[in-house]
Amino acid sequence: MRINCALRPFDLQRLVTILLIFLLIIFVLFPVFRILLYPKLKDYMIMLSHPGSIRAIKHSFFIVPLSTLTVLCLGYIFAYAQHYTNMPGKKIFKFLALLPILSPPFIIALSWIMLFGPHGFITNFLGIRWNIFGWRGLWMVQSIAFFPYAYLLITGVLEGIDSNLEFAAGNLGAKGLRTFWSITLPLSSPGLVNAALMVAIYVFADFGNPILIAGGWSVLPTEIYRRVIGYNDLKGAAALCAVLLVPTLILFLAARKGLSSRSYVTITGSAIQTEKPLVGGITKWLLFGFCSFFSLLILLVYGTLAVGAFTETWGINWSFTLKYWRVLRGSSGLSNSLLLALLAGLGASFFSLFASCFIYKRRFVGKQFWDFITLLPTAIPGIFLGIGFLLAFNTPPFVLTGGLVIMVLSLLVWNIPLAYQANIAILEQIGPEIEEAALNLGASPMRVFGNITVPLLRTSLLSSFTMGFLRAATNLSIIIFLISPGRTTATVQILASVRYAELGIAAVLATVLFALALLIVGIMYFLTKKSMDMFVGVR
Amino acid sequence: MNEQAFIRIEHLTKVFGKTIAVNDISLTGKKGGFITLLGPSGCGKTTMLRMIAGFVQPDEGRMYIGEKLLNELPVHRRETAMVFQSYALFPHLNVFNNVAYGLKLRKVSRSKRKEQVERVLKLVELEGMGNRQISQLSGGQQQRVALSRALAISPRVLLMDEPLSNLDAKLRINVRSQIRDLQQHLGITTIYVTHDQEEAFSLSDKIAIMKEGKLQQIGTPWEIYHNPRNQFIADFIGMTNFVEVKVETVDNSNVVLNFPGGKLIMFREKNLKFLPGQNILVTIRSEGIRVNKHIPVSSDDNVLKGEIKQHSYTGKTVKYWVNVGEGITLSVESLNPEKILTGKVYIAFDKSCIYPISIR
Repeated sequence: MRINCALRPFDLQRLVTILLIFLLIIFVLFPVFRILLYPKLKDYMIMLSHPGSIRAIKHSFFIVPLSTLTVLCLGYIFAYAQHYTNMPGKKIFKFLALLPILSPPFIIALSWIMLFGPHGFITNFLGIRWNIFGWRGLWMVQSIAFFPYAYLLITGVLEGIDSNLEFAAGNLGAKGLRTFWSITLPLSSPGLVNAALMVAIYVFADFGNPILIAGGWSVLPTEIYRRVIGYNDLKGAAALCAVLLVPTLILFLAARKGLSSRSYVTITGSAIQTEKPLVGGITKWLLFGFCSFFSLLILLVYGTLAVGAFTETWGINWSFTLKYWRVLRGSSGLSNSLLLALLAGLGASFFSLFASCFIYKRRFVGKQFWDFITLLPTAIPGIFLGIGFLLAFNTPPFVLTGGLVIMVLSLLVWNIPLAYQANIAILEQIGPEIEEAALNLGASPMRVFGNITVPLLRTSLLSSFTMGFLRAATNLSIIIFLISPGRTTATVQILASVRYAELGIAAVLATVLFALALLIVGIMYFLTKKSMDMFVGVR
Repeated sequence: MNEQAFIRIEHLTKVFGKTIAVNDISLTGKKGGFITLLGPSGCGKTTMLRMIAGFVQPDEGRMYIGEKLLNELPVHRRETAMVFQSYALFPHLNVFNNVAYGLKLRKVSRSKRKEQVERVLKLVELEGMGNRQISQLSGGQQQRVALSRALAISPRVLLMDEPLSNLDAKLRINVRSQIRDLQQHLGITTIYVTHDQEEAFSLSDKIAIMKEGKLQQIGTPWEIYHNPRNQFIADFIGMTNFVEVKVETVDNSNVVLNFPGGKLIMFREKNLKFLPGQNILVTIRSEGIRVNKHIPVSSDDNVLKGEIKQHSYTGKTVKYWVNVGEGITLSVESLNPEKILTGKVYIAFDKSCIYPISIR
């Protein structure tokens, strides 16, 4: 005897799920397939044999491992120092280390040029000539720009290690760094691999730094940009985008597989303590020295921008001026950036809230696939997404190009995975029982969503809004393909100013953008009282 | 309405992949009664409770409360308030609003709500705690908030999923008796899940023992303790001495058994048939056995010689492992010991302390 248990003719939950899937098809799958199918086979062949693109591919595969490994080492040392020593100034170090997340990544490149470039402050001061353009400059700049991501990911890994295991090693006679080499490092290696994969995706997709500092030394994203802007060759650009997607997609799939399979972190489960055995003596002070040096470097980077905003002609005339601040009066770039960031941040939080409740938590046929698609934008480089939206939405049935709408939507899609993951992390932490309890007391599923789930996700929604806002405000790689006359953003303006050698204007815009980002983070900190909560999705 | 079969479960079955979590279970419970589903972890007791609550859909079978078929009702219309093992209190609401949540959904007016919440908080001795945040409460207090939240909606059936397992031993016993008092006082029909036999025995009117998805035995605590149907049940409810013996003679009131250390007399259950020469498995209640250094002069039915191999002293009791020959060791629990014995001893027990588990 079989009884059908849930006989409800009109199922609102199912309807929401279907709507979400529909949106994912239009705004994630459609642009992706539009790019992949836009070039003909012939265009692929041309692009893959073109010396320029071969060079760019080679350069990308050279710089990505290099920068990723550097970033990982820096991030590990920094995170280790935070957790395993009682060095002074830990809070300040942590704050400074996270600053590069708040600014457009390529701001570092701008500042680097102002410090070490041909007319750079330090170059002038030391009176030497060197070439910071090319891969060396890019390597150094990326090492700073992507350092905070590695730091956050590795912090999560280290916190996940049951410190009793490390105490046990000490208890059994392991001294000094012995515990690190024999316990901490092996236990963090699966998480470390995962962090490496995630950082590598960011580095592969990096567009702003190479366009500013790598000069003629092109990598895939800058080569794609050149195809579009220089040769107006959208087919070739699309073909190269497809090429760029291959490594990022593989990295993304590997990271997902790594997360779902073995990880030493999850084995111990409940009794994880955050108190770690401390290292002391010379190790501690070496770590302190490293953190101080790196933090000062970051301070120098942002300080340079702030000073640059008030300097007559950088590198030539150091006198004080306010003239570049006039740019704020006329330009709409900054206000556009803020508007876009606000809408994209809100939209992504809102979408991910529904997606986590009506895709992640429900059971239906094909759920795993749609869960995967919701996370897919993580693997899509910004430049790919920008061109994808350009191709997908400039012809009927969907004509959106030329306005703010397409910019908002593209940034929104780009932000979804982060917000989605932040929600999922919270949902997994609280478990299903709280919602079951509400149902059990008589709340309908939709009421549970409003009364229980949304309030419980409050912190993750706030944090994903913040991260989404920051990412959207600082994005260059997507937005550069979607701007139209009169509708530009601060990041695009900064790039243009650097191009026209108007470093003062670039510095003013960068400084203001950065200050606004700091303000937003400050407000969020005030609301949530937990600074690290903000980055729950990154981890 | 049939008061004796207020809860009716018929052929309930649930399969997860290849394991049959709940295998064709039927049982009934009377109105105002207290049924416990007892069994080791993985026996299907929680799955069964979750099917009654509606979190899990059964593959087969029907569940009724009163005349109402539960299967067709969505979770939120079942009126089966549950106390979760983890309590599942709403972390973003204070105590008052947690308890009031179900009432609010039932559109109980503000003033009535207040009155009712205060009443149930008083029942669990939490009066005046309404403004506390959940995180400010101790485990025991959280447990009682969970209970009062369930009681507040006056459910048709109260479901409890190992509600005491997160409390420390002493608190557990206090809350246990509190739950029993409340249940009796309110006359609320309850289904309780636990793996702790002591808890089950002290709380229930009726115990259903489960193993690997199957119902092993259902009965009052007394019936189960005095007539466990198989070795698993006997073992699970704490019996330790299992001996295979041969039936010698049978008369109206006694069965005489051939035991390695001498003959044993067992009280004869009226409805059980014994044949001379038959091999049967019996259990001897360890707390019914007395240990003496000298041969006892009382009128015990059974006296055996033995040697103490080991003991463990808990303060209230001493447990002895006594070798009675041919490799058979009986465990003996001696309450309120005057001293700890060693070496050769006599053990004695009444014929009612020995009973058959299965007839081979």
